[in-house]
Amino acid sequence: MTEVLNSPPAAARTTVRTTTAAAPVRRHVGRLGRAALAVPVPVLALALWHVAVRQGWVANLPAPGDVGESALDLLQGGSAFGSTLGLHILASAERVGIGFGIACLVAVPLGVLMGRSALVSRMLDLMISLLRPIPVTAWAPLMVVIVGIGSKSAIVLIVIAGFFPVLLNTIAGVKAVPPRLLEAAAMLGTGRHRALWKVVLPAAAPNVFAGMRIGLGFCWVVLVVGETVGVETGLGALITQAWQVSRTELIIVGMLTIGLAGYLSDRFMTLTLRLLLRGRPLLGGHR
Amino acid sequence: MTDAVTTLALRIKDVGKTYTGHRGNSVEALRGINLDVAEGEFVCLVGASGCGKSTLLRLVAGFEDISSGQLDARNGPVCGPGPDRGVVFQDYGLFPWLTVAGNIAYGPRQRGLPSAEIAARTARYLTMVQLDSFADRYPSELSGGMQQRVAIARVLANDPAVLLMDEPFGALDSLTRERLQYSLTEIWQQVRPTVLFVTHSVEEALFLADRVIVMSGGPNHGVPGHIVHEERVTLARPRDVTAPEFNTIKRRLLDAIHAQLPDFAVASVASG
Repeated sequence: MTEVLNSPPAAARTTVRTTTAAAPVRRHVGRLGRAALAVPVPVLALALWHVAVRQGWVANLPAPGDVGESALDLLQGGSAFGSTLGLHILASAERVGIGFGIACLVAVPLGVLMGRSALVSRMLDLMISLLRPIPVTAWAPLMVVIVGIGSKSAIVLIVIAGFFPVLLNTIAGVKAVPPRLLEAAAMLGTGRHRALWKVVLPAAAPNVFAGMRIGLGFCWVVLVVGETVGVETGLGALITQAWQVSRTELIIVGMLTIGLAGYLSDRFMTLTLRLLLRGRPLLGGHR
Repeated sequence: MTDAVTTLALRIKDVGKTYTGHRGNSVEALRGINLDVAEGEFVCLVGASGCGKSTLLRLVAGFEDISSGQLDARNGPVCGPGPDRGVVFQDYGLFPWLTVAGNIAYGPRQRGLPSAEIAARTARYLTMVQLDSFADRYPSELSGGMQQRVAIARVLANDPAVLLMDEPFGALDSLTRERLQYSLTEIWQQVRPTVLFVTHSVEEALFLADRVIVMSGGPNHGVPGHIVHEERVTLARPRDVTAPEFNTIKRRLLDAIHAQLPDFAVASVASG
């Protein structure tokens, strides 16, 4: 064996294997150190916020301490809104889960079809291009009329929000599948339809996953619009109710919770996919 | 069917290929190709760029349809790609999401062979291309030469009647190329597949083949691609590329190629 490995991942792997016992410790510190880099900016922002409120630079904005207090109350307190945060998070997460799930179930197969078939693509391209620029906020009143107020119309809006990023990225990924891989599969005995599973989907997977991450983010974005009317629980409903009774600190708690939930759901999805794929290079980018 | 026909792995009879463009203009890439390949024979197609040698290979692979003539493989007329005709591409065409072992096992899995048989074949061909210790690596972690060895093992594991190789070593550095030519000779002597091998290197063709077919022409020369010369090579393997007999045949083949190229005639007049 005279040929040498020359790709970066293989080289990195070799380095890790051959270094001394101190290496894992140093690597651990390195990872912590890198994570610690994310801390100063939020802390500074909190401090600035605190000072701005105390000095009276902004009117009507509650201080971070007050927001923290009402967050605690919301988590396990006894006031009118007390101990309801978990309920709201669960209700929202359930809607996002269902809505995003439906969006993926429709968008991925449709994207594969549109990416592979010129006929289907020509039939649907115009329609999709016309629907896509319509903001989800504009769909909201129509959905209330058609579907009625309540959880269902919130889920429909989430489906719409998640649908387009997944669809467009799937189409792009499928169109970018190297023809060579399809030829390789064909000469090894894979039929045209089977090749959709064996070649097109795995080759397009990094794009599909990228679309899913963007789509899931959009689903959390439309939550507040979707949960404004006719639902009692959910982070959007919490914000709406807090707004109606002028509890600004609760609005902020709701906002931050949505941000956190969106972040955690993205991490959760990425880690789940990584576990399911067991190291197969299908996710693209960082592994 | 007579006995002579059954021992043929490929029968190419008066085959032509014409491409039709969007505006109805057509380009005739190949015309009147006649070539029979016997079972177990190693045949090389050589010629300048654009002479249609790769097109001919793609017709045999079934990636494109012939425009005229008749093209038969062992299972009858060629109609689309199939596992009886394995292809090794210049750019490997490995599945990046499968490991080395997964790529080699792909064909046998597609056929639905029992898993013990799949494992046995995978192990056998991993060893044959000397990649046992890389079974669990992904293609992106391997050098070009190693990837091409995986591609060869992947096709052999599928037990094809004909092995089609389209400038497989063209993208590799010359030392790796020589090593792979040597390995391929060994593998061929061991497995005895029928091989149709396209290259633009006369030396490579002469090192590998039982028979070298020289092609010429092509749309850029105003004539469709066609066969101009055929050389049977009986030198013992592995061949010595510095031997006088080797170079005598090499000279003859080079002359056959260059005689067809107009710019060469001009150049030799100028230098002589």
